[in-house]
Amino acid sequence: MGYGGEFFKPGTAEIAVNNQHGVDSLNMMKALSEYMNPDFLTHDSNATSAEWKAGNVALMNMWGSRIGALKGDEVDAAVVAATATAGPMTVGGGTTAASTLWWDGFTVAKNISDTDAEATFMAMMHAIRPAMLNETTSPQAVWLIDGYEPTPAAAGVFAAAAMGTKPYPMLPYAGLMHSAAGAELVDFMQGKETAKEALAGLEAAYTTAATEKGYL
Amino acid sequence: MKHKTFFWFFLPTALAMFLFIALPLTSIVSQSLHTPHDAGIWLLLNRVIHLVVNLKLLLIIRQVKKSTKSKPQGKWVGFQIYTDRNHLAFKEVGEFWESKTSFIDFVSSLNDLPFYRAMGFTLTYTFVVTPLVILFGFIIALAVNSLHRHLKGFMVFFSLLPMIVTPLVGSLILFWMIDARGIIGSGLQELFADPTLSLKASTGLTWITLIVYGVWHSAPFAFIVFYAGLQTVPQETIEAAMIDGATRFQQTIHVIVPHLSPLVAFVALIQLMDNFRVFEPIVGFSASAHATSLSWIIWNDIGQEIRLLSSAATTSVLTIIGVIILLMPVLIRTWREFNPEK
Repeated sequence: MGYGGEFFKPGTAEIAVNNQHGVDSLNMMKALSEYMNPDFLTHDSNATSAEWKAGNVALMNMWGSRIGALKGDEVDAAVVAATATAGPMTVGGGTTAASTLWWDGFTVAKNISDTDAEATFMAMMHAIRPAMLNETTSPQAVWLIDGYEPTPAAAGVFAAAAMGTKPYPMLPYAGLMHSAAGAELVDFMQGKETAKEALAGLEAAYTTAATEKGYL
Repeated sequence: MKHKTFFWFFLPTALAMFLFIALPLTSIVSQSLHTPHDAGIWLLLNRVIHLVVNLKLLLIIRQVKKSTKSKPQGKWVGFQIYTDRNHLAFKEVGEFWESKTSFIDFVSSLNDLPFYRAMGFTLTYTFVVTPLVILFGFIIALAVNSLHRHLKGFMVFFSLLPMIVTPLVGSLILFWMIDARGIIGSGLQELFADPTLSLKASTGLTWITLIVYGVWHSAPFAFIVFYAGLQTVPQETIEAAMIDGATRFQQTIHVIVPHLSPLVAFVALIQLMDNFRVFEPIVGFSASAHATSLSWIIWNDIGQEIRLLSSAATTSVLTIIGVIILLMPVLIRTWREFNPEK
Protein backbone atom coordinates (compact mmCIF):
# COMPACT_ATOMS: atom_id res chain seq x y z
CA MET A 1 0.00 0.00 0.00
CA GLY A 2 3.05 2.23 0.42
CA TYR A 3 3.47 2.07 -3.36
CA GLY A 4 -0.09 3.34 -3.77
CA GLY A 5 -1.71 -0.01 -4.47
CA GLU A 6 -4.84 -1.61 -3.00
CA PHE A 7 -5.54 -5.17 -1.92
CA PHE A 8 -9.03 -5.28 -3.42
CA LYS A 9 -10.83 -3.41 -6.16
CA PRO A 10 -12.92 -0.85 -4.24
CA GLY A 11 -16.36 -2.14 -3.35
CA THR A 12 -15.72 -5.69 -4.55
CA ALA A 13 -14.06 -8.87 -3.32
CA GLU A 14 -11.83 -8.97 -6.42
CA ILE A 15 -8.16 -9.08 -5.56
CA ALA A 16 -6.06 -6.26 -7.01
CA VAL A 17 -2.44 -7.19 -6.25
CA ASN A 18 -1.35 -8.75 -9.54
CA ASN A 19 0.18 -5.56 -10.98
CA GLN A 20 3.30 -3.40 -10.89
CA HIS A 21 2.63 -2.28 -7.28
CA GLY A 22 2.54 -5.95 -6.27
CA VAL A 23 5.76 -6.75 -8.13
CA ASP A 24 7.52 -3.76 -6.52
CA SER A 25 6.33 -4.77 -3.05
CA LEU A 26 7.50 -8.38 -3.46
CA ASN A 27 10.89 -7.30 -4.79
CA MET A 28 11.30 -4.98 -1.80
CA MET A 29 10.37 -7.78 0.63
CA LYS A 30 12.87 -10.09 -1.07
CA ALA A 31 15.60 -7.43 -0.93
CA LEU A 32 14.94 -6.86 2.79
CA SER A 33 15.06 -10.59 3.51
CA GLU A 34 18.76 -10.58 2.66
CA TYR A 35 19.37 -8.73 5.93
CA MET A 36 17.32 -11.23 7.93
CA ASN A 37 18.11 -14.35 9.89
CA PRO A 38 18.34 -17.18 7.31
CA ASP A 39 15.45 -18.94 9.11
CA PHE A 40 13.09 -15.99 8.49
CA LEU A 41 10.49 -18.16 6.73
CA THR A 42 9.89 -20.01 10.02
CA HIS A 43 9.67 -16.89 12.21
CA ASP A 44 6.43 -15.42 13.50
CA SER A 45 6.20 -12.14 15.44
CA ASN A 46 6.89 -14.01 18.72
CA ALA A 47 10.17 -15.28 17.30
CA THR A 48 11.17 -11.87 15.93
CA SER A 49 10.36 -10.28 19.32
CA ALA A 50 12.59 -12.85 20.99
CA GLU A 51 15.40 -12.04 18.53
CA TRP A 52 15.05 -8.35 19.36
CA LYS A 53 15.08 -8.99 23.11
CA ALA A 54 18.20 -11.10 22.66
CA GLY A 55 19.90 -8.08 21.09
CA ASN A 56 20.37 -9.78 17.70
CA VAL A 57 18.46 -7.26 15.59
CA ALA A 58 19.40 -3.73 14.52
CA LEU A 59 16.21 -2.55 12.80
CA MET A 60 12.73 -4.01 12.85
CA ASN A 61 9.41 -3.13 11.20
CA MET A 62 6.94 -4.38 13.78
CA TRP A 63 3.42 -4.16 15.23
CA GLY A 64 3.13 -0.94 17.21
CA SER A 65 1.25 -2.84 19.92
CA ARG A 66 4.28 -5.01 20.59
CA ILE A 67 6.68 -2.23 21.48
CA GLY A 68 5.82 -2.30 25.18
CA ALA A 69 6.88 -5.92 25.55
CA LEU A 70 10.25 -5.21 23.93
CA LYS A 71 11.06 -2.98 26.89
CA GLY A 72 9.66 -5.37 29.50
CA ASP A 73 11.29 -6.05 32.87
CA GLU A 74 12.86 -9.35 31.79
CA VAL A 75 14.71 -7.77 28.85
CA ASP A 76 18.41 -6.97 29.18
CA ALA A 77 18.91 -3.34 30.29
CA ALA A 78 21.36 -2.66 27.44
CA VAL A 79 18.77 -3.81 24.87
CA VAL A 80 16.05 -1.68 26.50
CA ALA A 81 18.33 1.36 26.48
CA ALA A 82 19.07 0.83 22.78
CA THR A 83 15.43 0.35 21.80
CA ALA A 84 13.74 3.37 20.25
CA THR A 85 10.53 3.66 18.25
CA ALA A 86 9.79 5.76 15.21
CA GLY A 87 6.91 6.19 12.79
CA PRO A 88 6.44 4.07 9.68
CA MET A 89 8.88 4.06 6.80
CA THR A 90 8.01 5.03 3.25
CA VAL A 91 8.96 2.98 0.24
CA GLY A 92 10.23 3.64 -3.28
CA GLY A 93 10.76 7.34 -2.63
CA GLY A 94 7.04 7.89 -2.04
CA THR A 95 5.43 9.85 0.78
CA THR A 96 2.68 7.34 1.67
CA ALA A 97 3.46 5.38 4.83
CA ALA A 98 4.35 1.73 4.01
CA SER A 99 2.13 0.67 6.87
CA THR A 100 -1.50 0.29 7.88
CA LEU A 101 -3.48 1.05 11.02
CA TRP A 102 -5.30 -1.76 12.80
CA TRP A 103 -7.97 -1.16 15.40
CA ASP A 104 -9.22 -3.68 17.94
CA GLY A 105 -12.85 -3.55 18.91
CA PHE A 106 -15.41 -5.79 20.47
CA THR A 107 -18.41 -7.58 19.05
CA VAL A 108 -21.60 -8.93 20.55
CA ALA A 109 -22.95 -12.16 19.06
CA LYS A 110 -26.31 -11.63 17.40
CA ASN A 111 -27.84 -14.95 18.50
CA ILE A 112 -27.62 -14.37 22.27
CA SER A 113 -30.56 -13.10 24.29
CA ASP A 114 -31.06 -9.36 24.68
CA THR A 115 -30.29 -9.56 28.41
CA ASP A 116 -26.99 -11.33 27.70
CA ALA A 117 -26.15 -8.85 24.98
CA GLU A 118 -26.82 -5.97 27.34
CA ALA A 119 -24.70 -7.57 30.07
CA THR A 120 -21.86 -8.18 27.58
CA PHE A 121 -21.99 -4.61 26.39
CA MET A 122 -21.97 -3.25 29.94
CA ALA A 123 -19.02 -5.46 30.91
CA MET A 124 -17.07 -4.28 27.86
CA MET A 125 -17.84 -0.63 28.49
CA HIS A 126 -16.84 -1.08 32.13
CA ALA A 127 -13.52 -2.60 31.00
CA ILE A 128 -12.68 0.52 28.97
CA ARG A 129 -13.89 3.12 31.49
CA PRO A 130 -11.58 6.16 31.74
CA ALA A 131 -10.81 5.33 35.37
CA MET A 132 -8.99 2.15 34.41
CA LEU A 133 -6.15 4.13 32.79
CA ASN A 134 -3.09 4.06 35.01
CA GLU A 135 0.66 3.63 34.70
CA THR A 136 0.36 -0.07 33.93
CA THR A 137 -2.52 -0.02 31.46
CA SER A 138 -1.72 3.17 29.54
CA PRO A 139 1.38 1.87 27.71
CA GLN A 140 -0.31 -1.47 26.91
CA ALA A 141 -2.26 -0.12 23.95
CA VAL A 142 -3.21 3.02 22.10
CA TRP A 143 -6.57 3.65 23.75
CA LEU A 144 -9.52 5.55 22.32
CA ILE A 145 -10.59 6.58 25.83
CA ASP A 146 -11.18 10.03 27.29
CA GLY A 147 -8.18 11.15 29.29
CA TYR A 148 -5.68 8.89 27.50
CA GLU A 149 -2.29 10.56 27.09
CA PRO A 150 0.10 9.08 24.50
CA THR A 151 2.94 7.18 26.14
CA PRO A 152 6.42 6.66 24.59
CA ALA A 153 5.29 3.15 23.57
CA ALA A 154 2.61 4.71 21.36
CA ALA A 155 4.97 7.13 19.59
CA GLY A 156 5.14 4.98 16.44
CA VAL A 157 1.39 4.64 16.16
CA PHE A 158 0.82 8.37 16.58
CA ALA A 159 3.51 9.16 14.03
CA ALA A 160 1.74 6.75 11.65
CA ALA A 161 -1.60 8.46 12.22
CA ALA A 162 -0.02 11.89 11.70
CA MET A 163 1.35 10.68 8.34
CA GLY A 164 -2.17 9.79 7.23
CA THR A 165 -1.54 6.02 7.26
CA LYS A 166 -4.53 4.17 5.82
CA PRO A 167 -6.53 1.69 7.91
CA TYR A 168 -6.05 -1.96 6.96
CA PRO A 169 -8.96 -3.20 4.80
CA MET A 170 -10.04 -5.89 7.30
CA LEU A 171 -12.89 -7.13 5.11
CA PRO A 172 -14.55 -10.53 5.60
CA TYR A 173 -12.50 -11.96 2.72
CA ALA A 174 -9.15 -10.47 3.79
CA GLY A 175 -8.35 -13.66 5.72
CA LEU A 176 -8.68 -15.68 2.50
CA MET A 177 -6.07 -13.42 0.90
CA HIS A 178 -3.70 -13.77 3.89
CA SER A 179 -3.96 -17.53 3.73
CA ALA A 180 -3.40 -17.61 -0.05
CA ALA A 181 -0.45 -15.22 0.26
CA GLY A 182 1.12 -17.37 2.97
CA ALA A 183 1.02 -20.40 0.70
CA GLU A 184 1.79 -18.82 -2.67
CA LEU A 185 4.58 -16.31 -1.97
CA VAL A 186 7.07 -18.70 -0.32
CA ASP A 187 8.49 -19.97 -3.61
CA PHE A 188 9.25 -16.40 -4.63
CA MET A 189 10.89 -15.62 -1.28
CA GLN A 190 13.12 -18.67 -1.82
CA GLY A 191 14.03 -17.53 -5.31
CA LYS A 192 12.21 -20.39 -7.05
CA GLU A 193 9.65 -18.18 -8.79
CA THR A 194 9.43 -14.68 -10.27
CA ALA A 195 7.30 -12.03 -8.57
CA LYS A 196 4.84 -12.14 -11.48
CA GLU A 197 4.39 -15.93 -11.18
CA ALA A 198 3.91 -15.67 -7.41
CA LEU A 199 1.28 -12.93 -7.77
CA ALA A 200 -0.55 -14.90 -10.47
CA GLY A 201 -0.57 -17.88 -8.08
CA LEU A 202 -1.85 -15.71 -5.23
CA GLU A 203 -4.61 -14.29 -7.42
CA ALA A 204 -5.71 -17.74 -8.60
CA ALA A 205 -5.62 -19.29 -5.10
CA TYR A 206 -7.58 -16.40 -3.58
CA THR A 207 -10.14 -16.29 -6.39
CA THR A 208 -10.81 -20.04 -5.99
CA ALA A 209 -11.25 -19.74 -2.22
CA ALA A 210 -13.42 -16.61 -2.46
CA THR A 211 -15.62 -18.29 -5.08
CA GLU A 212 -16.09 -21.24 -2.73
CA LYS A 213 -17.12 -18.95 0.12
CA GLY A 214 -19.57 -17.13 -2.14
CA TYR A 215 -17.82 -13.74 -2.13
CA LEU A 216 -17.23 -13.77 -5.88
CA MET B 1 -20.64 -68.82 16.91
CA LYS B 2 -24.34 -68.65 16.13
CA HIS B 3 -25.48 -65.78 13.98
CA LYS B 4 -27.63 -64.39 16.79
CA THR B 5 -24.83 -64.49 19.36
CA PHE B 6 -22.48 -62.88 16.86
CA PHE B 7 -25.02 -60.15 16.18
CA TRP B 8 -25.35 -59.17 19.85
CA PHE B 9 -21.61 -59.51 20.37
CA PHE B 10 -20.85 -57.25 17.42
CA LEU B 11 -23.67 -54.74 17.94
CA PRO B 12 -21.85 -52.28 20.26
CA THR B 13 -18.87 -52.15 17.87
CA ALA B 14 -21.12 -51.71 14.85
CA LEU B 15 -23.05 -48.97 16.61
CA ALA B 16 -19.88 -47.13 17.56
CA MET B 17 -18.52 -47.50 14.03
CA PHE B 18 -21.76 -46.16 12.61
CA LEU B 19 -21.86 -43.20 14.98
CA PHE B 20 -18.19 -42.24 14.92
CA ILE B 21 -17.05 -43.35 11.47
CA ALA B 22 -19.95 -43.69 9.04
CA LEU B 23 -21.93 -40.60 10.08
CA PRO B 24 -18.98 -38.17 10.11
CA LEU B 25 -17.84 -39.55 6.74
CA THR B 26 -21.28 -38.96 5.24
CA SER B 27 -21.27 -35.45 6.61
CA ILE B 28 -17.79 -34.75 5.19
CA VAL B 29 -18.71 -36.05 1.74
CA SER B 30 -21.90 -33.99 1.77
CA GLN B 31 -20.05 -30.89 2.96
CA SER B 32 -17.49 -31.27 0.18
CA LEU B 33 -20.27 -31.11 -2.42
CA HIS B 34 -21.77 -27.86 -1.08
CA THR B 35 -20.52 -24.29 -0.67
CA PRO B 36 -21.90 -21.39 1.36
CA HIS B 37 -24.59 -19.30 -0.32
CA ASP B 38 -23.38 -16.27 -2.23
CA ALA B 39 -22.31 -13.67 0.27
CA GLY B 40 -23.88 -10.83 -1.66
CA ILE B 41 -24.71 -9.15 1.61
CA TRP B 42 -21.08 -8.51 2.49
CA LEU B 43 -20.18 -7.19 -0.91
CA LEU B 44 -23.12 -4.89 -1.01
CA LEU B 45 -22.63 -3.64 2.52
CA ASN B 46 -19.13 -2.82 1.42
CA ARG B 47 -20.44 -1.11 -1.68
CA VAL B 48 -22.84 0.96 0.41
CA ILE B 49 -19.83 2.97 1.50
CA HIS B 50 -19.59 4.04 -2.14
CA LEU B 51 -23.26 4.11 -3.10
CA VAL B 52 -26.54 4.84 -1.46
CA VAL B 53 -28.61 1.97 -0.10
CA ASN B 54 -30.88 0.80 -2.88
CA LEU B 55 -33.63 -1.66 -3.45
CA LYS B 56 -31.25 -4.23 -4.91
CA LEU B 57 -29.36 -4.51 -1.61
CA LEU B 58 -32.53 -5.23 0.32
CA LEU B 59 -33.57 -7.82 -2.23
CA ILE B 60 -30.21 -9.59 -2.04
CA ILE B 61 -30.15 -9.60 1.75
CA ARG B 62 -33.63 -11.18 1.68
CA GLN B 63 -32.53 -13.71 -0.90
CA VAL B 64 -29.45 -14.81 1.12
CA LYS B 65 -31.54 -15.08 4.29
CA LYS B 66 -34.20 -17.10 2.49
CA SER B 67 -31.80 -19.52 0.84
CA THR B 68 -29.84 -20.03 4.09
CA LYS B 69 -33.10 -20.91 5.82
CA SER B 70 -34.43 -23.26 3.18
CA LYS B 71 -31.09 -24.93 2.46
CA PRO B 72 -28.90 -24.67 5.57
CA GLN B 73 -26.38 -27.02 3.93
CA GLY B 74 -25.51 -24.40 1.37
CA LYS B 75 -25.48 -24.39 -2.40
CA TRP B 76 -25.13 -27.72 -4.21
CA VAL B 77 -22.02 -27.50 -6.40
CA GLY B 78 -21.29 -31.15 -7.14
CA PHE B 79 -17.62 -31.75 -7.84
CA GLN B 80 -16.77 -28.09 -8.42
CA ILE B 81 -14.58 -27.90 -5.31
CA TYR B 82 -12.83 -31.16 -6.24
CA THR B 83 -11.80 -29.88 -9.63
CA ASP B 84 -10.98 -26.26 -8.68
CA ARG B 85 -7.46 -24.85 -8.63
CA ASN B 86 -6.88 -25.41 -4.92
CA HIS B 87 -7.62 -29.15 -5.22
CA LEU B 88 -7.32 -31.43 -8.25
CA ALA B 89 -7.07 -28.42 -10.61
CA PHE B 90 -8.07 -30.30 -13.77
CA LYS B 91 -8.11 -27.15 -15.89
CA GLU B 92 -4.65 -25.91 -14.76
CA VAL B 93 -3.09 -29.37 -15.06
CA GLY B 94 -4.52 -29.59 -18.57
CA GLU B 95 -3.00 -26.22 -19.46
CA PHE B 96 0.39 -27.22 -18.03
CA TRP B 97 0.26 -30.43 -20.09
CA GLU B 98 -0.55 -28.50 -23.27
CA SER B 99 2.22 -25.94 -22.77
CA LYS B 100 4.92 -28.26 -21.38
CA THR B 101 8.34 -28.35 -22.97
CA SER B 102 9.44 -31.53 -21.21
CA PHE B 103 8.09 -33.97 -18.65
CA ILE B 104 10.31 -32.52 -15.90
CA ASP B 105 9.00 -29.06 -16.75
CA PHE B 106 5.43 -30.41 -16.37
CA VAL B 107 6.16 -31.96 -12.97
CA SER B 108 7.83 -28.81 -11.67
CA SER B 109 4.92 -26.65 -12.80
CA LEU B 110 2.57 -28.96 -10.82
CA ASN B 111 4.48 -27.76 -7.76
CA ASP B 112 2.64 -24.43 -8.11
CA LEU B 113 -0.68 -26.09 -7.32
CA PRO B 114 -1.30 -26.61 -3.58
CA PHE B 115 -2.74 -30.12 -3.88
CA TYR B 116 0.10 -31.52 -5.99
CA ARG B 117 2.70 -29.70 -3.92
CA ALA B 118 1.33 -31.38 -0.81
CA MET B 119 1.15 -34.76 -2.55
CA GLY B 120 4.80 -34.42 -3.59
CA PHE B 121 5.98 -34.14 -0.01
CA THR B 122 3.40 -36.52 1.46
CA LEU B 123 4.31 -39.35 -0.93
CA THR B 124 8.07 -38.79 -0.57
CA TYR B 125 7.70 -38.78 3.20
CA THR B 126 5.52 -41.91 3.20
CA PHE B 127 7.76 -43.96 0.91
CA VAL B 128 11.03 -42.97 2.58
CA VAL B 129 9.91 -43.09 6.21
CA THR B 130 7.93 -46.35 6.06
CA PRO B 131 10.80 -48.67 4.92
CA LEU B 132 13.31 -46.88 7.17
CA VAL B 133 11.02 -47.31 10.17
CA ILE B 134 10.69 -51.03 9.42
CA LEU B 135 14.46 -51.39 8.96
CA PHE B 136 15.45 -49.45 12.09
CA GLY B 137 12.67 -51.04 14.15
CA PHE B 138 13.96 -54.47 13.15
CA ILE B 139 17.61 -53.63 13.90
CA ILE B 140 16.75 -52.15 17.32
CA ALA B 141 14.58 -55.18 18.12
CA LEU B 142 17.43 -57.57 17.23
CA ALA B 143 19.91 -55.50 19.26
CA VAL B 144 17.71 -55.27 22.34
CA ASN B 145 16.82 -58.96 22.09
CA SER B 146 20.47 -59.98 22.20
CA LEU B 147 21.11 -57.99 25.41
CA HIS B 148 21.48 -59.54 28.83
CA ARG B 149 18.07 -60.07 30.39
CA HIS B 150 18.76 -57.57 33.22
CA LEU B 151 19.33 -54.79 30.72
CA LYS B 152 16.39 -55.62 28.44
CA GLY B 153 13.59 -54.03 30.48
CA PHE B 154 15.45 -50.78 30.79
CA MET B 155 16.42 -50.69 27.11
CA VAL B 156 12.85 -51.47 25.98
CA PHE B 157 11.59 -48.52 28.00
CA PHE B 158 14.40 -46.30 26.77
CA SER B 159 13.79 -47.20 23.10
CA LEU B 160 10.09 -46.42 23.42
CA LEU B 161 10.65 -42.85 24.61
CA PRO B 162 10.42 -41.12 21.18
CA MET B 163 6.97 -42.62 20.71
CA ILE B 164 5.82 -41.50 24.16
CA VAL B 165 6.74 -37.85 23.50
CA THR B 166 3.76 -36.01 21.99
CA PRO B 167 4.61 -35.42 18.29
CA LEU B 168 4.05 -31.66 18.43
CA VAL B 169 6.21 -31.30 21.55
CA GLY B 170 8.90 -33.58 20.13
CA SER B 171 9.09 -31.65 16.89
CA LEU B 172 9.16 -28.29 18.70
CA ILE B 173 12.08 -29.45 20.84
CA LEU B 174 13.96 -30.52 17.72
CA PHE B 175 12.90 -27.30 15.99
CA TRP B 176 14.71 -25.19 18.56
CA MET B 177 17.70 -27.54 18.61
CA ILE B 178 18.23 -27.17 14.85
CA ASP B 179 17.58 -23.41 14.92
CA ALA B 180 20.52 -21.34 13.68
CA ARG B 181 21.07 -20.46 17.37
CA GLY B 182 20.19 -23.92 18.69
CA ILE B 183 22.68 -26.58 19.78
CA ILE B 184 22.51 -28.73 16.64
CA GLY B 185 22.11 -25.78 14.27
CA SER B 186 25.12 -23.86 15.58
CA GLY B 187 27.05 -27.14 15.97
CA LEU B 188 26.58 -27.86 12.27
CA GLN B 189 27.65 -24.30 11.43
CA GLU B 190 30.87 -24.88 13.39
CA LEU B 191 31.39 -28.28 11.78
CA PHE B 192 31.06 -26.99 8.21
CA ALA B 193 32.59 -23.59 9.06
CA ASP B 194 29.62 -21.91 7.35
CA PRO B 195 27.86 -19.29 9.52
CA THR B 196 24.96 -18.97 7.07
CA LEU B 197 24.13 -22.69 7.07
CA SER B 198 20.52 -23.17 8.10
CA LEU B 199 18.60 -26.43 8.20
CA LYS B 200 15.34 -24.50 8.02
CA ALA B 201 16.11 -22.26 5.07
CA SER B 202 16.51 -24.88 2.35
CA THR B 203 13.74 -27.11 1.09
CA GLY B 204 15.96 -30.17 0.73
CA LEU B 205 17.37 -29.92 4.24
CA THR B 206 13.90 -29.28 5.69
CA TRP B 207 12.60 -32.44 4.00
CA ILE B 208 15.53 -34.43 5.39
CA THR B 209 14.90 -33.00 8.87
CA LEU B 210 11.21 -33.95 8.70
CA ILE B 211 12.05 -37.43 7.47
CA VAL B 212 14.68 -37.97 10.18
CA TYR B 213 12.14 -36.78 12.75
CA GLY B 214 9.50 -39.14 11.31
CA VAL B 215 11.84 -42.14 11.55
CA TRP B 216 12.90 -41.17 15.08
CA HIS B 217 9.30 -40.88 16.17
CA SER B 218 7.90 -44.05 14.55
CA ALA B 219 10.79 -46.52 14.80
CA PRO B 220 9.83 -47.48 18.41
CA PHE B 221 6.44 -48.65 17.16
CA ALA B 222 8.04 -51.03 14.66
CA PHE B 223 10.59 -52.01 17.30
CA ILE B 224 8.05 -53.07 19.91
CA VAL B 225 6.03 -55.08 17.39
CA PHE B 226 9.13 -56.88 16.08
CA TYR B 227 10.47 -57.37 19.62
CA ALA B 228 7.23 -59.13 20.59
CA GLY B 229 7.52 -61.21 17.41
CA LEU B 230 11.12 -62.18 18.22
CA GLN B 231 9.93 -63.81 21.46
CA THR B 232 7.92 -66.31 19.39
CA VAL B 233 10.73 -67.42 17.03
CA PRO B 234 10.95 -71.23 17.45
CA GLN B 235 14.27 -72.11 19.09
CA GLU B 236 14.35 -75.54 17.35
CA THR B 237 14.57 -73.94 13.91
CA ILE B 238 17.36 -71.62 15.07
CA GLU B 239 19.23 -74.59 16.58
CA ALA B 240 18.73 -76.62 13.41
CA ALA B 241 20.10 -73.72 11.38
CA MET B 242 23.10 -73.45 13.70
CA ILE B 243 23.81 -77.18 13.32
CA ASP B 244 23.64 -76.72 9.53
CA GLY B 245 26.41 -74.15 9.97
CA ALA B 246 24.38 -71.00 9.26
CA THR B 247 26.05 -67.78 10.35
CA ARG B 248 24.20 -65.37 12.54
CA PHE B 249 23.37 -63.22 9.51
CA GLN B 250 22.04 -66.25 7.60
CA GLN B 251 19.91 -67.23 10.59
CA THR B 252 18.42 -63.76 10.64
CA ILE B 253 17.70 -63.66 6.91
CA HIS B 254 16.41 -67.22 6.47
CA VAL B 255 14.70 -67.95 9.78
CA ILE B 256 13.79 -64.77 11.66
CA VAL B 257 12.75 -62.55 8.76
CA PRO B 258 10.31 -65.10 7.20
CA HIS B 259 8.90 -65.75 10.67
CA LEU B 260 8.25 -62.04 11.19
CA SER B 261 6.92 -61.32 7.69
CA PRO B 262 3.22 -61.08 8.73
CA LEU B 263 4.30 -58.48 11.28
CA VAL B 264 6.16 -56.56 8.58
CA ALA B 265 2.91 -56.39 6.61
CA PHE B 266 1.12 -55.16 9.73
CA VAL B 267 3.69 -52.46 10.50
CA ALA B 268 3.76 -51.40 6.84
CA LEU B 269 -0.04 -51.08 6.84
CA ILE B 270 -0.16 -48.92 9.96
CA GLN B 271 2.86 -46.83 8.97
CA LEU B 272 1.64 -46.16 5.42
CA MET B 273 -1.60 -44.87 6.90
CA ASP B 274 0.14 -42.82 9.60
CA ASN B 275 2.80 -41.32 7.36
CA PHE B 276 0.30 -40.38 4.67
CA ARG B 277 -1.37 -38.24 7.31
CA VAL B 278 1.90 -36.51 8.27
CA PHE B 279 0.98 -33.28 10.03
CA GLU B 280 2.42 -32.44 13.45
CA PRO B 281 6.08 -32.15 12.39
CA ILE B 282 5.12 -29.66 9.65
CA VAL B 283 3.46 -27.43 12.23
CA GLY B 284 6.11 -28.08 14.90
CA PHE B 285 8.96 -27.27 12.53
CA SER B 286 7.05 -24.29 10.98
CA ALA B 287 7.98 -26.02 7.74
CA SER B 288 4.94 -25.12 5.65
CA ALA B 289 7.06 -22.87 3.41
CA HIS B 290 9.01 -25.93 2.27
CA ALA B 291 6.73 -28.90 2.85
CA THR B 292 2.97 -29.25 3.05
CA SER B 293 0.76 -32.31 3.35
CA LEU B 294 -2.92 -32.99 2.77
CA SER B 295 -3.54 -32.91 6.53
CA TRP B 296 -1.75 -29.58 6.75
CA ILE B 297 -4.02 -28.19 4.00
CA ILE B 298 -7.10 -29.30 5.96
CA TRP B 299 -5.76 -27.68 9.11
CA ASN B 300 -4.93 -24.49 7.24
CA ASP B 301 -8.40 -24.38 5.67
CA ILE B 302 -10.39 -24.76 8.88
CA GLY B 303 -7.99 -22.99 11.20
CA GLN B 304 -7.59 -19.24 11.67
CA GLU B 305 -10.38 -16.98 10.53
CA ILE B 306 -10.96 -18.29 7.01
CA ARG B 307 -12.85 -21.55 7.71
CA LEU B 308 -13.08 -22.99 4.22
CA LEU B 309 -15.27 -25.88 5.34
CA SER B 310 -16.11 -27.21 1.86
CA SER B 311 -12.49 -27.09 0.85
CA ALA B 312 -11.38 -28.90 4.02
CA ALA B 313 -14.08 -31.55 3.53
CA THR B 314 -12.94 -32.09 -0.07
CA THR B 315 -9.32 -32.52 0.98
CA SER B 316 -10.47 -34.98 3.69
CA VAL B 317 -12.29 -37.09 1.12
CA LEU B 318 -9.24 -36.97 -1.16
CA THR B 319 -7.06 -38.07 1.79
CA ILE B 320 -9.33 -41.04 2.45
CA ILE B 321 -9.20 -41.99 -1.24
CA GLY B 322 -5.41 -41.66 -1.10
CA VAL B 323 -5.16 -43.95 1.93
CA ILE B 324 -7.38 -46.54 0.24
CA ILE B 325 -5.24 -46.52 -2.92
CA LEU B 326 -2.06 -46.75 -0.84
CA LEU B 327 -3.30 -49.64 1.26
CA MET B 328 -4.80 -51.57 -1.67
CA PRO B 329 -1.78 -53.86 -2.27
CA VAL B 330 -1.44 -54.72 1.42
CA LEU B 331 -5.19 -55.25 1.82
CA ILE B 332 -5.38 -57.49 -1.25
CA ARG B 333 -2.51 -59.58 0.10
CA THR B 334 -4.12 -59.95 3.51
CA TRP B 335 -7.44 -60.86 1.93
CA ARG B 336 -5.78 -63.57 -0.16
CA GLU B 337 -4.01 -65.00 2.88
CA PHE B 338 -7.28 -65.38 4.75
CA ASN B 339 -9.21 -66.65 1.74
CA PRO B 340 -6.90 -69.20 0.11
CA GLU B 341 -8.16 -70.28 -3.30
CA LYS B 342 -9.79 -73.67 -3.26
